[in-house]
Amino acid sequence: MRGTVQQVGATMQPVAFRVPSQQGAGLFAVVCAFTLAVVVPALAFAAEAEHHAAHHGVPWAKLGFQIINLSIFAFILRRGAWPALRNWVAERRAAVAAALAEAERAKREAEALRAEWQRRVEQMGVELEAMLKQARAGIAVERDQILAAARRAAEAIRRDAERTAENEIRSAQETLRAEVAAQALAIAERLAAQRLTAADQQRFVSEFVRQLEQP
Amino acid sequence: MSGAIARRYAKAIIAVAQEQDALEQTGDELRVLRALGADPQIAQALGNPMLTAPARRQLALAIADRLTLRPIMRNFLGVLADNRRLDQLVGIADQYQKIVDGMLGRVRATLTSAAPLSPEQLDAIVTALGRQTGRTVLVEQQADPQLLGGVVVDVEGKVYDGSLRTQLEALATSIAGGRALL
Repeated sequence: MRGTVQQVGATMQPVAFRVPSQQGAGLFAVVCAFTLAVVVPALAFAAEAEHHAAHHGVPWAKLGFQIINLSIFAFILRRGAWPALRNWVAERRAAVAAALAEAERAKREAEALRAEWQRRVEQMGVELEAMLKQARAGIAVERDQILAAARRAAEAIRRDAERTAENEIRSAQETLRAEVAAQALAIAERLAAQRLTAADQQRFVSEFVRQLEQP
Repeated sequence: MSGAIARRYAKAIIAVAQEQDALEQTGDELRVLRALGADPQIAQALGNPMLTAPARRQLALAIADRLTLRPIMRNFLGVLADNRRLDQLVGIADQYQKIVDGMLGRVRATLTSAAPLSPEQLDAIVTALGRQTGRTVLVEQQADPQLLGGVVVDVEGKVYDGSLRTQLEALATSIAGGRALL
């Protein structure tokens, strides 16, 4: 009876020593608990059987068969489920670690961003003042340009008006001169036809001859 | 082209007239023929291409008889008819006058006045024009009341304007240009 228990513990001991991490140790504990859960009833059953055997004899064959079953089960568990379970745990651990690192990086970026925005908010007052100053200067320049353009336009309009007035005055003067000239010519022709004498004609001829004889 | 033809015939008749010492008389007859040829209807008849040679000669001789031209001019008209040059009479007369005037040192002028001039006035003007041109001036007088007063003389295209109308128009132009008023 005691030798059987030691045999089971000797079977599981190398497995426990191979688990390198804390999670592997936990898994090993689970396996051990499971084994105990199976072995303890078996031992109880064996004790009961021994007790019963005291009266009726020990069923060694049955007990040996169960021990063999248990050993096969432990072997299969050790070769099949244990590596997969160990890998899953390792991957899970790595994922959690990566998530924690990402969260840490995001936290640092958020803190840097918050600091940047804090700095900007603090500088916003200065920038706003500069913008207002620049805007006031721009408005003043634009106002001066508009006023200068308006003055130029007004000056051009004034010159055009003066030029138009001068042209109209000149045109009126020319029209008046033409009318005066036409009337003077008509009057002179009428008077000449009425009053021109032979003496006048003689004077014209004499003047014509005098001009011909001039060199 | 027609000017050259007329000049050639003019030189021919001048040569004949010089031989007979009848430049002036020939010129007078040519002026009569010129007046005849300037008439549109007569000019059309003289230049009619449908006329036969005998008909053209008969027409030329009829004209000569009607105008009682001298034989030299009668023959000249006959030559023109034979050569189909009767339509060149005006040009020939002008060229004759121009060439003869040049030969004799004369220049012809047209004198226009508002009223007829007295002989003294005309003589004074002709004398002055003679001194101006250096040639003998033959004046043809015209009357134009539109001149108002004074005279206008055209000497071979060169105009001497002493009319009152021109002076008044110059004065009116001066007034309109603002140089004499305002």
